[in-house]
Amino acid sequence: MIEVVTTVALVVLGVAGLLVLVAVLRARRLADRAVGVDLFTSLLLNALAVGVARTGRDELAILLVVLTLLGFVGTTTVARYIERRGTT
Amino acid sequence: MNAVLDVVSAAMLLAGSVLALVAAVGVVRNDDTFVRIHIATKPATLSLALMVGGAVLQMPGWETGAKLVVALVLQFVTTPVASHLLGRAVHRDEAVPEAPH
Repeated sequence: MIEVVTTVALVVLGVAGLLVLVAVLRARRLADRAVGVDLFTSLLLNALAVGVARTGRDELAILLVVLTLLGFVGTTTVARYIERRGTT
Repeated sequence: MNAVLDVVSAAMLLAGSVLALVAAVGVVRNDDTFVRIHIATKPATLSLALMVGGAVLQMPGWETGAKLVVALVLQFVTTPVASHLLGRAVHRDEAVPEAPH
């Protein structure tokens, strides 16, 4: 049962990821792209959590912690950049 | 008891993925940057909480689940900060005062 459920969840997350990539490509300003990439990172986090639920592998959980901090650093950097540069 | 936990876990995983899909559709459909920030922050916390809950219910022990909970706490702490910084940057960027004559 868990295989079926995790497969469905991963497919739904994949569709969501494609939609977010479309949003990133169609964005008109830098902040919109930053939001899209941030959302893509959290979708990746969700997929990793589903992978942990499916396989129970320990290293995926460590990867989840690392990716959380990486997404935060990325979004913060872009925000500082927009604020300092003054243009989008 | 085990079957009940399995069903609850499956429901949490499916609810989390559907919430993420709804957020992705919302980001595609909305044009305003602040609305996008608002939408994109939802799955980052609630959806990940549902996913982590579903994954922890599948685990027999707490060795992996503890790491998942650490990641969830980090996400709950960092996501509001990141979205607030982004929103502040956009706001200050839009509210550029007119050049002095």
